[in-house]
Amino acid sequence: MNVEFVGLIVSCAVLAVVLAAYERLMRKYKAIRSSQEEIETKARDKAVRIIEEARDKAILILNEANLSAGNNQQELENKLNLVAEKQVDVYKEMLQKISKSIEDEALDEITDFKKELETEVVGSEKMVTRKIDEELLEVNKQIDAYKAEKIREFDTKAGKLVREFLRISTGMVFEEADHKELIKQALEEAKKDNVI
Amino acid sequence: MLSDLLLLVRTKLEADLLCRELECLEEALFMTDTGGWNEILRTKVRLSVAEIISYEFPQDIEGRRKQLRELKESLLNLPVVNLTLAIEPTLDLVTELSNHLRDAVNAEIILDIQSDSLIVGGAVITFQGRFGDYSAASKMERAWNENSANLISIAYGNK
Repeated sequence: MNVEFVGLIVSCAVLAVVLAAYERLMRKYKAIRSSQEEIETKARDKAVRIIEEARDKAILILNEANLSAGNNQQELENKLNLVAEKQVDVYKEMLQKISKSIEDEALDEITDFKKELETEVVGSEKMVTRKIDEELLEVNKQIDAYKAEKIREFDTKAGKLVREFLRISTGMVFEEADHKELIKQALEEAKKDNVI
Repeated sequence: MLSDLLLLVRTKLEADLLCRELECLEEALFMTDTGGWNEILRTKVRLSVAEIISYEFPQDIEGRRKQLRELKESLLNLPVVNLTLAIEPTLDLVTELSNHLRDAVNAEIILDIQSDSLIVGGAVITFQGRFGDYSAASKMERAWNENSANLISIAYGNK
């Protein structure tokens, strides 16, 4: 037996020890591994459960919130409708008042306008009448002036004609004695008038 | 004497004529020829005037000059009656009118007579700034003016 052998036996013994340690380590590893997986599975299940619970709760809350919101909205709508109806009533009333006011104002204005129109018409009639009267007066004046002018013209012409005729006719008719008599009469009249 | 001569003057024409005759006699006063006065009386003065002057005038030159001057002044100062007649008056009519007017105004006057047939008859008289139209024409015109409106209305109707 030699050293080599002994060495071999020792080596084999060491190897056997190592293998035994390895085999133990491997079993430990597997156990840990299995435990880890189990824990992970549990954790996963728990997480899923928590998520589902949270989701259900969220849904519940959301449903409740929706319901509440719906109720509030309805109430709000009702209130708004009520307010709107009141406002409409007030608005209608105001409109009626405004309408009445406008109507009264319009009636007053129409009355005033009628009065003004009547006044204007009467004034216009008077003005037209006065204008016509003035023009008539002017025309009458012109006619009178024309008549007077024509009469004067005729008067002058006729006067000249008459005088000329009398001059001719008296020249043919008057004797010297007649002239003498007329001249003496003229002198007598002149004496009466203190001309001589 | 002067009045005798002035009686001869009835019209302005005669007054002018007498004035010229007196001027001729006035010139004769300065003639050297002593017969010049009588010569002028014979040749340049009407007989009626010459006769009065021959009888009534003094014989001396100064007396004659004085008389001539007075006579001339009287002539120039005689009031003039302006008469406008429709006819040319005859001498008789002028004398008659002159006498009539002298009686009327009680003074010597001379007539300045003009003829205008347009006055038809009567007379237009102006004397010492006074005027009177006593012509037949003016009477006719007055009558016409007073009645023309009626006559026109009769002729044309009262429109």
